[in-house]
Amino acid sequence: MLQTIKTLLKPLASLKLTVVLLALSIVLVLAGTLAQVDMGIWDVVHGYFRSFRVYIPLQIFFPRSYEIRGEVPFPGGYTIGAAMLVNLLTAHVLRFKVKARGGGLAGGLVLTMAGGLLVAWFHNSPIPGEILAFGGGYPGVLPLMVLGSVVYSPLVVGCVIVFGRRGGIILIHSALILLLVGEVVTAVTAIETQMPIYEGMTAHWSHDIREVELAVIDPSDPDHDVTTVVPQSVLRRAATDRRANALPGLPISITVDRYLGNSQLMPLTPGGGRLKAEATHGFGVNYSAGPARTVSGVDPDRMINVPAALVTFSHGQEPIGRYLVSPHFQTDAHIVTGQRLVAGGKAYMIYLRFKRYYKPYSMHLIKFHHDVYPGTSIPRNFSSEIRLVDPVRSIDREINIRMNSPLRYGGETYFQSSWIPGANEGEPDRGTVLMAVRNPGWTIPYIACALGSIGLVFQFGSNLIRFLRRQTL
Amino acid sequence: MVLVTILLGLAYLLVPLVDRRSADGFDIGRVGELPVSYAGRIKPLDSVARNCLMIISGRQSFKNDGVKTDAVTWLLDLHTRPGLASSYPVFRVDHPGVRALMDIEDINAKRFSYDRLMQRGSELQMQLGQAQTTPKVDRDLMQNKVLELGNQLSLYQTLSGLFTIHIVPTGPGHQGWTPLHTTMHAGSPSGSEVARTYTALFDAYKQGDIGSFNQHAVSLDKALRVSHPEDTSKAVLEAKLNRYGLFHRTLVLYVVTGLLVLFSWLRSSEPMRQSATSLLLLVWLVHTLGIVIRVYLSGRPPVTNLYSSAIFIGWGCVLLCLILEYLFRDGIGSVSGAATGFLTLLVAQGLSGSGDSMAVLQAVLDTNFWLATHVVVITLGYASTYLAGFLGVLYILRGVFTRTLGKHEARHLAQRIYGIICFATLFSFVGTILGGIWADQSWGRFWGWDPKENGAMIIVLWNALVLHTRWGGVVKHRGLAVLAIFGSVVTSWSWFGVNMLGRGLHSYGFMDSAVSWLMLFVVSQLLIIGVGLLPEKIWRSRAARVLRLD
Repeated sequence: MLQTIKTLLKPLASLKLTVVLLALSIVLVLAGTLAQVDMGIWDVVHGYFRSFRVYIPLQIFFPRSYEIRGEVPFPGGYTIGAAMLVNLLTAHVLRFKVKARGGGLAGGLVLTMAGGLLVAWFHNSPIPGEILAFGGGYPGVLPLMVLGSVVYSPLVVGCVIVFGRRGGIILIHSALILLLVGEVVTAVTAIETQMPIYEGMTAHWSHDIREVELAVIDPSDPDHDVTTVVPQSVLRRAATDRRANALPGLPISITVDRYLGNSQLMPLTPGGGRLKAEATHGFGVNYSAGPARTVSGVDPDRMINVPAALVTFSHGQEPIGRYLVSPHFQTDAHIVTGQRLVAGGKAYMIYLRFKRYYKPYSMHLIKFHHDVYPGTSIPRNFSSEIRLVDPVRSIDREINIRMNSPLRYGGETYFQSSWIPGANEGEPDRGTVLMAVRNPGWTIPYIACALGSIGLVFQFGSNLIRFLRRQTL
Repeated sequence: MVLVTILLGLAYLLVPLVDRRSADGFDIGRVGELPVSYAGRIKPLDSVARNCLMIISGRQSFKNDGVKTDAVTWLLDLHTRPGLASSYPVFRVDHPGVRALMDIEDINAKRFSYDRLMQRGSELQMQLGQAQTTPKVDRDLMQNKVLELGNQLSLYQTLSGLFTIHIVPTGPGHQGWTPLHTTMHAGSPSGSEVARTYTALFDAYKQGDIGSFNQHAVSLDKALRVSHPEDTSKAVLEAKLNRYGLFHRTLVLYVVTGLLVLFSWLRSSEPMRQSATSLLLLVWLVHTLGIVIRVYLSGRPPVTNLYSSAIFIGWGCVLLCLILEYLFRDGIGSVSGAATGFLTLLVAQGLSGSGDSMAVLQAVLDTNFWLATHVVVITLGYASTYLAGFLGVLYILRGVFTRTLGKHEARHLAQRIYGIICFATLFSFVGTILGGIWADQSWGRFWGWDPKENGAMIIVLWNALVLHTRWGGVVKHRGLAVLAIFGSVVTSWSWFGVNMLGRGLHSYGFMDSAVSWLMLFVVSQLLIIGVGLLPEKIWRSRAARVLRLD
């Protein structure tokens, strides 16, 4: 029985399969890089790497001046990753012999598992961060590495006891498994948003510039606004099925006449031109919205896609009007302007804005610094002096977020990402743009890095020593 | 023999250091050593002049009526005698469209004077206007070249007035520097003293008054040594390094080393091999010294841009080769070290056209910790992958075209390739993951699938593939060599190719010279792979082996 299973599993564990999978992954990564010349990086990540299969257009392998047609189906990142995982695990089950016996084996296994737990605990504890902070940043790396080698040693020693010389490979492969798992965890759970703050102002939310939402706000209550939000996915779907969607809790329903993933607005010249206003109400009566080329991943200016939608609002069965909504309509950078809508005698404000995530804490920008090298406009450093207020945890403190020195707070990490320039050229900057990232799996690559490095050094080091010994004989 | 080689090498290196400053001319050298602040960094005037001339003409000196003229003289003429300087042929114009625009008919002329270009000034102005209004992504090569020429002309004009060179310190220490023209009416006492001397120095140059020019140069040197001792001593060192041309000399000696090894093989001479090895060690030490000086001058880890990465890749390759030579003592290590050292320094020379090779860094790169760890480790990964590739090339060429690759030699060479690939895997894996951790630290994501990251990942995957094919018995010695050669192609793609994606593939960027060099390299490697795949029957070494067996 066991023998049959082994025979069946054998092809799955073969090294030739490993080679094929590595070759496939090289082709996929290459294609996913070349595709970024025409496509946005985000679309590529979803189409090529975080997918089960992808149709690769042959055009990407040639200069765009030759027109090449056709595409080939290819396994996506999830498929190749899963196959690699299966290949790796079966190989270990079938080929890798446990070296230790009896008490040694038990001890080794216990040591390995305890070591693994110790490593996981260590990375998710505040200790590494505190050592770094104690050393004032990078000078703390050395003590951290010393402590790290102590923390990792039970795991490494356990592995070597159980698997002998093969311990190195076990460590390398577990690092690879961790990297694959880490990427999946990131793909599924990570949220990357931006938090623009003007100097002297306070921010309670961050937004995801890759996704929009239609917000309908009822401002009638003086204490707080009531906001109803329609997600991008619903807008997209509504644009294809053209069905009316009732907004929950409001006497309003919408139909989406058109949705543009990236758009440009053209002001209409009075009386002339081929362009016509499609909107009947709001700002849209003076503009025409057209599609724009999707922003590419290697775009030197790092532009973003700005969608637009034509939406008809109705009160019950009775149409109110057709509005053109887009984040293009803004009073200032990052501040989308609302349009007034009256339904059933009540006034609402409508916005197509980037998807917002509200925080239980707030950040107040005291001052934004934009240092340049003397006599040039080459930036040397960006930093934001922030006052962080969290009433729930009764925290009120001042912090400084700089390039290469983020703030980790509330399960999110805040990075200095960009800034809000002056309204006119030559005027001082008016604020900061922080990037807020929530990624529960962020420690996994650190562990993988340590395990992989230890494993490789162990493996190749022992190879080298054996080789040198033979050489001197 | 070893001693003689070393002595000759040292002589070649040391003789130019003897100061042969002529007493009866302008002391241009001393003026070139004066510290100024330009493009955000304090550097000698010599570097400013060289880098600007490099941007304009692609060289660090130029020929005027057959007389070689150095960059500082050019800058002095440009400032004090603009009418004369505008007749110097310094602007390099290559693109046929731009040449047609400038009405250039002489196909042999490469460089042109400011006056010559200005004859077609209004036409150029019109083309410039059109190119500027075209959005960046839609510009074609001609428009980019017109803009490049426009930038060169405006650089020339601002240099002429010394408007962008901050030559006058506003006070002691790090209080900042200002251009000469702003200190003429206002300014602090010590600053204006320097400004006055500079003005007098320029006047003396204009009048041809050698005596007072040299006197002012000496007093400027003294004044700045007192007020800015560290900046001045660094500037003097940098100017000396510029004049000495350290990496050019290293490059020449790498060629000599390579030739020595080849001779040692032809004559089966062990002393010759030993002298080649010791020469390689000497050159490598000089190479190291060059890197150390650059680290000292810039206050940065060794790799900060493409130019320095080329120099460092060469350094890493030669180091690994020295270790190989120490282990095997058959000249293979030395010849590989000489060749890879030579080639990478050649690449570095080609890359130096964009100006200051120690330019200040963009904000996100401003972290010595990550530059010292991630960048250095990944660069060593590149170096070892290239070296494995080069050994692969040796294996194929030796096997196909000579009778010397016997069974024993083939096994040994393959063993070396394998060992180097192990190193390459270690460095590229660790380097790539460190890069991910840096990205996590500064952008909040470990892996973003952006082109540069993907390039690095492909190197790791390729090295892993090579190792697994060997372990799986898919390839033996020859296959390993062939796969290693393809590793060089993969590495070149990650090192340069991905940088060309943004601009290159869109328009007609394929004409760019860097791209064509890259293509040439890739094609050459593929050719060698093709040769390597020829049936072993027709390999000369194989034939020799069969003969010997009979």
